[in-house]
Amino acid sequence: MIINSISMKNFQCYYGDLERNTLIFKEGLNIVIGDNGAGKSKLFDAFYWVLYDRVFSTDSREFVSTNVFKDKLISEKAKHGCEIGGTVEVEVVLLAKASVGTEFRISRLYNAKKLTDREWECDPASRMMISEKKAVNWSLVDRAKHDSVLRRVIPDHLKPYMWFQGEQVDSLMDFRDKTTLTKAINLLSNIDIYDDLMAISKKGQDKAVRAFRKAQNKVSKDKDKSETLNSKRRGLEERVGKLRDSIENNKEQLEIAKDKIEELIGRVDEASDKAELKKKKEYLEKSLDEESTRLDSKYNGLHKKMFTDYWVLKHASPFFDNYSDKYRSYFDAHNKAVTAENAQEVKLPINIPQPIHVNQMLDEEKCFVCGREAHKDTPEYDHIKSLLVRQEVDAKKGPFVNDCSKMFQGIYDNALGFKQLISNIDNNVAEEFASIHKLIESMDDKKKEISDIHERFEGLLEGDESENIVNAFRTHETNREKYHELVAEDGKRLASIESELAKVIAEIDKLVEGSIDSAAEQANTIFNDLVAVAESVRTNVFADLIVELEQEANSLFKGMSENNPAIKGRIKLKRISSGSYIPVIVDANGYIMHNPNDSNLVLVKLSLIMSIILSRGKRAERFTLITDAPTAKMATNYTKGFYSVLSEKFTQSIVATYDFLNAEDRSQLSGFNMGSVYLLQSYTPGGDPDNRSDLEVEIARIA
Amino acid sequence: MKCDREEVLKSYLKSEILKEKTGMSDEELMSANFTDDSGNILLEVVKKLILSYCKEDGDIVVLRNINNSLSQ
Amino acid sequence: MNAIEKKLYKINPVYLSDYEDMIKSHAQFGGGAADTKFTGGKSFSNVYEFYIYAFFIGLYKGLKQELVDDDKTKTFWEMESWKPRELVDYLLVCAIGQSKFDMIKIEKADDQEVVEQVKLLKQIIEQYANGGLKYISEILQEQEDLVDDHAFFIKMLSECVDN
Repeated sequence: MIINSISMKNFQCYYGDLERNTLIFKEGLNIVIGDNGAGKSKLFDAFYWVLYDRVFSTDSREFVSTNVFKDKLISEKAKHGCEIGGTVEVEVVLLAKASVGTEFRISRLYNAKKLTDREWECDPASRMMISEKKAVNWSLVDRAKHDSVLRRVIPDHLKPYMWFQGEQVDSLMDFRDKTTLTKAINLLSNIDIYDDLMAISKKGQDKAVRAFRKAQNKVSKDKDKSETLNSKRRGLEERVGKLRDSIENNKEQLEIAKDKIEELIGRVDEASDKAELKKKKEYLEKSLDEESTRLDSKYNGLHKKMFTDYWVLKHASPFFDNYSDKYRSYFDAHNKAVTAENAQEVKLPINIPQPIHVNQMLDEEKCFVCGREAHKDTPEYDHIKSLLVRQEVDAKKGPFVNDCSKMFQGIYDNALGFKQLISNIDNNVAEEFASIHKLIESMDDKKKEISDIHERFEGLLEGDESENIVNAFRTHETNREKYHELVAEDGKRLASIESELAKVIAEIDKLVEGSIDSAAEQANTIFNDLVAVAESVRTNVFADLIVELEQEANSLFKGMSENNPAIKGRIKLKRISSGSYIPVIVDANGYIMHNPNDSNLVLVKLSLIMSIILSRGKRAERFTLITDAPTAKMATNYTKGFYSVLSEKFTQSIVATYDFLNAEDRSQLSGFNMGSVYLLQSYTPGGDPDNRSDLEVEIARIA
Repeated sequence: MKCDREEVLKSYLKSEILKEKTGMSDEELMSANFTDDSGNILLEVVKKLILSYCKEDGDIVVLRNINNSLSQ
Repeated sequence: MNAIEKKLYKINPVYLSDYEDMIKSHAQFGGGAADTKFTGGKSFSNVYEFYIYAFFIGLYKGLKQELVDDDKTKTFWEMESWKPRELVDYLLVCAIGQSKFDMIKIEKADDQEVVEQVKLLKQIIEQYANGGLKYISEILQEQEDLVDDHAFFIKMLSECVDN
């Protein structure tokens, strides 16, 4: 909605009727200029009070409700002018218009009865009324719909970022708090949709896994064992979860340590030395990482080589010789047996007839040796026939029950083939160890070089800064190494537990007899996949948001700092863990800027806030930015850029400021998309500036 | 925040993990919509999830809708 | 493949239960890709690899450990599942060379005699392997930090003196 006007009656320093204290606003940049104490903050309070029944307490530095603020809400002059027993009415009216043309009138009333000069009996609460006008007439809006109207003026989640006081900018974008940026992004983007989808998928996954395990257990051939294994599985999964959290935390701490180191290095004035050392250090660290990976791979492969390269046969040759001797004896004996058998085939024992004679005997059904009859189907006939069968069987078998010559030959040839390889094993092992040793030496050299660079950084710091800084540098370096190692160790432990988990799951699967309910199995698979997809999408959407934000923030920042060469740096959104980012300001070389001037800092924070608002949705079109003294901490020549961006990017903004008090300064506003310009001046008609009970505000529209 | 289901579906279709799990090509994924059945169970479940969520169904209803589509 | 050959590859040698923990620490039990096994920090992809290694250590050092019926032992995979086959065949060559396995007799042996001969081979394999396991176990107990030495098993192999 666009805010058309605000009117105040006896509200804080705004003494008098509504008509007297009315500011009319238009689309574009609306400026309310006033010196300190002119009523700018009270104007901001009026917006807040009419909608939310709260005002900003300068004592407690927080918003307090009316029933706490009580009579402090009332104009001192109105209080002073009221007779004892009389009532003072406080009212603020806001007129706003929706894009479809409906107008809304939001008013809040509060009364107080004067009991004595100092005592007031205040209403227990203020009253809000909302009317709407669609065509001609105003009609009251039902109380139940009040919240929805207020949300159309400014939604709750946007309020902190679009209606703010200058002194809140620091806390809105506190660079020391890693959650501020992420919180703002989570609130103001549509990332919550992806969070919800992920959460629903995980709920579904939990149910599907439980159902699957139940179905699996049902068809287990050993239900007790299944139960035990599942219990073990759950324990391992819990450990995996904890380790993953630990790794994330340690990675975060590692990033923080690296950040701190960067920040300290950033303090060093010797830019060229710094750049060179940093570049060299980065190269060495990358190289060291690569070599470390290669070394791990070599160590892992070492034992493998005992089997893939047959190193385990290193001293086996003499034992092959033993076999060779044995094999030779066997070979001779085997061949002798074969030869003898071949001879045997030609010569039958003396008392056994030749096969031709045996056949003749069968034909004539008579034994030629003893002359007896041997008719078919008689034992005599069968005996003669058996002589023929035995010869055939003996001819097929040869002299051996199990001829192993092929096997023994085979393994002999196989072992012989290894002769050359075995003789080379010593060299191969030595070469591999030499290569490992070389790698270790190279890594040690690099570590030493990195350590030397650290010392040089310390030296540079010592030249510029106090000993505390050098100690801080050393502490952060130690932390960096510590967390780097912790991440690596946890990683190894995680791999080991995951491997054990896989084994347990395999054992559970092995117990399954028959088929598991297919629906349960399918649901399990699908929900696992769904969770993986939902998590990855959320990560990608968030990462895209960050990229977008960084670009938008830098574009705004550039726009704000264009004509001011004193403004340095650019905004970088630095990832410190999964889903956690902090904003940093970096110089042209990528170093984090240490203590950029306050104006710089405020501009950066404002850029970030505005980039979040502008990033998604049409917030800047649909809602008004209202801010009180946002440029309070900025030097004059920093502010023009800020107003230029506001006028360009927001359909309506209302800024209370002491900038442009000087009429000449207002010429800077030419060319901007301007709304109304007001000048506030507090005064005491009686002439005594210290007499607060005579205080009024003059509101003059100057454009 | 109001859910633009087309935009949400688009974000999901860009996912490398979805591509890997469904085995579908970039072209097939990019042409997916809420009306036509893609024939891929996982993708249909994703669509059901987004549709039901954007209709502001509660978690239980969303999951029930997904399980119903699985049992079909 | 003849019946004898089949029986040889069916040999399922055992190790003393005393060595189970040590074997579990250094060998991956069960299936899975070799790559993941090494990520898990184990030096041997399988129990049989450790067994083969222990056999050769026992062989090179001349260390045999007799097993008796009362001993508590554990089995794992039959030799036909061990890989690579060429290495297994070399192991058989060494075992035959060192044992009383009668290459001539077995060719004429009946079933009973074949069983006896195969048993001789199984025994020699088990004796050297358990001898090797005993040696490794003693070294590891003496110097516990050796487990962190990435090249421990290679170094042990290199220290064996040629007979």
